[in-house]
Amino acid sequence: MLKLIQNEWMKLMSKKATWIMAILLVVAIVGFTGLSKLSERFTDTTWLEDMEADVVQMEEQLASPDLTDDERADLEAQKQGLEETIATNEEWNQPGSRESIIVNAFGIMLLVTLFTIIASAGIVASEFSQGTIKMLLSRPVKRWKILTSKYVTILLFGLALTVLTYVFTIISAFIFFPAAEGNSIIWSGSDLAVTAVWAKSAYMMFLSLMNVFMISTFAFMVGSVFRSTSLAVGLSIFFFFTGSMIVLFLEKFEIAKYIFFAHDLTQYEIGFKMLESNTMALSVAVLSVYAVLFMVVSYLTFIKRDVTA
Amino acid sequence: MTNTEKMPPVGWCLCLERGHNVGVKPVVELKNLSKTIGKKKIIDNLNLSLYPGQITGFLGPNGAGKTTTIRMMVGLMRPSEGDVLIEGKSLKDDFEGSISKVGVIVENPEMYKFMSGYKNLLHFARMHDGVTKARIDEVIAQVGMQNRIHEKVSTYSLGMRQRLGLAQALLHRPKFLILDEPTNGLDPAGIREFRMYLRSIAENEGVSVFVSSHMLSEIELMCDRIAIIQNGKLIDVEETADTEKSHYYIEALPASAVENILVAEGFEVELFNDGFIIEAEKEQIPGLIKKLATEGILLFAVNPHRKTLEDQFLEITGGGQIAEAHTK
Ligand SMILES: Nc1ncnc2c1ncn2[C@@H]1O[C@H](COP(=O)(O)OP(=O)(O)OP(=O)(O)O)[C@@H](O)[C@H]1O
Ligand SMILES: [Mg+2]
Repeated sequence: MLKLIQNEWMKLMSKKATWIMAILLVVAIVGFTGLSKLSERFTDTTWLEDMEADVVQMEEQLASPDLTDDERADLEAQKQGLEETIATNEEWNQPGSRESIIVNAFGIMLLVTLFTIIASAGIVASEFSQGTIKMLLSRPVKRWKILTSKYVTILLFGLALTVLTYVFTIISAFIFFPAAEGNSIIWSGSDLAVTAVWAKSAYMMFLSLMNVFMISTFAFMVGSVFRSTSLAVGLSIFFFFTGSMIVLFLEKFEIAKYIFFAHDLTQYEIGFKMLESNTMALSVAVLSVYAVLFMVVSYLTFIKRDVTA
Repeated sequence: MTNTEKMPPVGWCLCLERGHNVGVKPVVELKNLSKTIGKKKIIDNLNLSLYPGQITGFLGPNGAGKTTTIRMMVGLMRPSEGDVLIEGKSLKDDFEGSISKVGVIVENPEMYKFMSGYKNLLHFARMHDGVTKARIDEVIAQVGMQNRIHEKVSTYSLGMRQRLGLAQALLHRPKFLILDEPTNGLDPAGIREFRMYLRSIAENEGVSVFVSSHMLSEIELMCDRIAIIQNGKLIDVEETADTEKSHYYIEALPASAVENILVAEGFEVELFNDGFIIEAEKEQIPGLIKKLATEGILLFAVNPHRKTLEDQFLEITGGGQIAEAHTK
């Protein structure tokens, strides 16, 4: 089995497309981090200071005794609105720090998802379109072993891209940004101790990787059932982008709970749940069922198929 | 000659030609092999045994079912009925065991074009037990690919791809070699070399070779034995030695008188071009010439005539058209 995985890895690494994807990924990471540093320099925060001045003025007005109750209530409401705006903007506008960049590294996993889908869609389908499948299956190796080696290779590829993302985000965070000034940074509206950044960011990467595995397993299935790379890439990306909309449409129905896009695992850490009823346990259960289903379909069709390519 | 030969059920056969001993055990046996796709019976109850050291040709018009049969022999397609035994092991029940002694090229050898020839061989070598780096180099030398082996396959010519295809089929020293249209794309020197090579591995290593081809003359030169398939049915299996029965071509005038004499002498006469073909022993010929001369016949030519396999093939399959669509 190790030799088979070695084979699949060799084929994947011999393709130009693989290297182009890896290079794009690194360029994107370094580029985004650099850009956010640049944009920080040009951010105009005087309007925020104006707002703060307004608040101070309102407080003075509120202190004066000759206000009617109505006027007072009005003013209170205005002041509260302003204060909320200021609070949210302060989170966005806090000066970038290494820690805040690192803890947000999972944002770039969008690209990792895309690239892993492409690799996964092609790993079986391309053997058919190249005609090499007949050379591969007329060997003393059972078909399920060959399919397993391909699947494992995709998991390894997703993992490799994730590690690449994490490492390069950290490197560019250290190059472009200073350490956080206090003992905490703001993350998803709450305070996060600087010391917890490593654990938090690694956990986020892990959860995103699980999402990558799920959608890639789907692409793997479509690729091995329909033997078409483009169909598998197209369908997977379509669902990847429209998935949350579909869930939103069906929100009112019980069935929404069982759609796999409703179970993006990062939602529990970001603090924005797709569905009220979602729990981590439910998500893990639903995703596992889907993963098993996708794999069973892939294996059955791959093992049964008459190869005429 | 066109007896629809059924091989004995458990194949012990008389393999007398080319010095085979009586009672050689077949390397491969096809047993009642059938394939139905949809309602079409593409392969109909094939029985065939292949022997060590023998090169068997597999001949049939386009669409006869050659490639389909070969796909079933290597586990790419599942037979609807029947089984394939390789060294006595069933392909159905012991896939890994039975296929490990088989080397195959199905139609064109498709390689990973984005990798070098060497990496392709390394890839396939890893799928067999005990193929060492030294063995890979040895095979590369055998097919004469040393100079280009580290270049990408996408830069190879068709003939070079065929050589690489042969190399991957030989890596694990197969006991049984299946080749579907192997000479496609080889130049005449390459074909000749290839033929010699097949002969030598058949004779020296006792490999059983099964070659499908359209090139009838090729098969004739290469094979000891020919299986002819048409519309999914095996219609004839014969030794190529059979085709060398001596025939003579006689051109003489007047035709009717010549025919009368030949018939009177007890020959079977067949019209051919401007003359006749008879089956005769060499010793009979001088007597026959004397006889014709004394009867005042004008004798233009008496030549040994070798009926080509092509003639026989067309005779048997009834012309060169594509196999008819046959529904059952
Ligand atoms: N997947 C399939 N579905 C339906 N019919 C098929 C399929 N594959 C092959 N056939 C039919 O089976 C018959 C045999 O095809 P096969 O490719 O085995 O012929 P062949 O002898 O190799 O021909 P050629 O000399 O042209 O290579 C043909 O009539 C073909 O149309
Ligand atoms: Mg064919």
